[in-house]
Amino acid sequence: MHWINWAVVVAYLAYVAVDGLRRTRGGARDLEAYLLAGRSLPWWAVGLSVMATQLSAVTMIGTTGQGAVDGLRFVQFYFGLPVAMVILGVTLVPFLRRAGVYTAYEYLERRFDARTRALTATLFLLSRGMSCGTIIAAPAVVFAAVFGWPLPWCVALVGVPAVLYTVAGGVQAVAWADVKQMALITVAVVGAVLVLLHRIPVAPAAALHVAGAAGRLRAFDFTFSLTSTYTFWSGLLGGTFLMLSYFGTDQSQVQRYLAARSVDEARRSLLVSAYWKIPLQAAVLMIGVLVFVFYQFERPPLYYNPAHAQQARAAAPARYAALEARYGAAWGARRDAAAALARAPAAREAIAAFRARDSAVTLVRDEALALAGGATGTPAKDVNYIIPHFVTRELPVGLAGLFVAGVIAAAMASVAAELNSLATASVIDLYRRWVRADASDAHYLGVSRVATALWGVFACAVAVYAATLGSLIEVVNRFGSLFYGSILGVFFLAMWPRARAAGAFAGLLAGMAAVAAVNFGAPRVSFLWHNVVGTLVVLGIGTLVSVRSPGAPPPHSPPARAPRAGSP
Amino acid sequence: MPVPPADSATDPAPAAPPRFRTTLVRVLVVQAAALALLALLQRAFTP
Repeated sequence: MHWINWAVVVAYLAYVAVDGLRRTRGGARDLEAYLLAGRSLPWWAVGLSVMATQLSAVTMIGTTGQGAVDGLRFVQFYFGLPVAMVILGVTLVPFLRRAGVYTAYEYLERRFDARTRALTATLFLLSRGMSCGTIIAAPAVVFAAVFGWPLPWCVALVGVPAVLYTVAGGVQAVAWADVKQMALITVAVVGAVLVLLHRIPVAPAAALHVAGAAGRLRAFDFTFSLTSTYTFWSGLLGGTFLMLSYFGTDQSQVQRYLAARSVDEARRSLLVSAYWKIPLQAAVLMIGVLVFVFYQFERPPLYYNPAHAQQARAAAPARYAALEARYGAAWGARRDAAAALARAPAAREAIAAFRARDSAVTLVRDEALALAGGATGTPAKDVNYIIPHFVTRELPVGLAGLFVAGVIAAAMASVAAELNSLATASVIDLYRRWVRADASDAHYLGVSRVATALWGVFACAVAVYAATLGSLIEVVNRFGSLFYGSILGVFFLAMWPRARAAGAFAGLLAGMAAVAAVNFGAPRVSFLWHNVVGTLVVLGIGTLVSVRSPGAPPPHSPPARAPRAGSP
Repeated sequence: MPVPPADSATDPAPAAPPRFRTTLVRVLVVQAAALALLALLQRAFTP
């Protein structure tokens, strides 16, 4: 990559770290300022911070890559998000805000009991602590392969600035850094789309016809199936429950809107995502679709991951050379077919010819990936390398640097929010609740900084190991999805005055067991439905046990051992 | 930090203010328009 691009990346990273450190001077003098920004943030800053937290580096390089190979289909995953935001705005947001809590799990002790709080907080810490490492690992692996750097350096590139400004400035620094990250990401995404439209050698309408003929513009699939992942119904129904669980019960999200100035500002902050998430996600996928069209007219490599090319060439040089030759010929034929299709988009023969040539190219690529997979002993996929290849070779100097900085910014925004919320749950739900309940505010502030730094070191260590054990990332993601829906069920149960602690705890365990069963295929249900299963089982079992629970406390009594909000 | 009343955790949530309800309707209308645009894109360019 050109040195100017690197200068852009370095300048941006320095700016974010220095600005985060600068913010420590004015604020974060007490625990509430450090963890909740003194509940003083405006709705638009919280809204952008929520979006930045959710938009990770995987979105910038993985989702765009998915757009190139699979089209717009993935956008259906987000159809439930606006609905979820609307439901949260009228249910959980005012509930949690009025309770005056630091964490979502703290509220569960007030409403139910200490064990429900301890279990949910521990599950959050386990799952998010690991996933924080995988968030850093995902872009680090790609950078290591594309730029040829040692992996620990790439992990440090993302991890160190994020840890620095999060430790120093707390949620205030995180939220304001997120605002900048979102601005940068939006500029990078829009810039990439404009450059692509300029570089594709056919008119935009013709380019869309080429994408459409290859099925890349198919955004809707109305099939109702519990085993298909991305359909309209799984996105709308399953997605609503997933987003309700994520935005309503995950501390990394809840902490954002607890930091807003008022209930109304917290609600409005969620509506930022409700308005913009689907259009932004569609734009991100559209980059991938346009990159697909771009590579119809510009020769792409046989392998987008340079490491795959080296391994395949070293393992079977003759076969590699033969595949290269076949790929060149197949691609040339497809380029001619795409050009013919662009000239006559309605001609059936042109469409059929283009599809046949596209299948031939895919066939050669599949063979090549199988060769690389055989050489390395692990299945070779290079979806995540398509966009880095395009960005580093095709984007103009400056914009490429901006895009790479955008990828790092997206990773840092997610990591910073995770670190901040992990520290909050560790200090508020475990340390202050079980270890030391009567220390000064300054003591908890110091412990929060130390906890943030320790989680940062843990996340970087996990990232280095996760990167070498590809399947670990999947295990971590699966583990997280085991209990999201169940915790959401507990929060819904909390709104029912007759629900009891015994019902909530039994429901939580039953919900997690049910999701574990469907997760391991008994019966087989696609993951977007897992949260629906978890929530419904918790509500069912929780209601049953609550109704039969003898000697339960009256519904409006706070639990005897719960610390009050605002207590030191 | 203000300490909430003892029963605040189980009180019903306050009703959404009218301005917020209007915003909700607006969100749903904007999303419906976005989905219609995607549907149009699919219909116009997918043979």
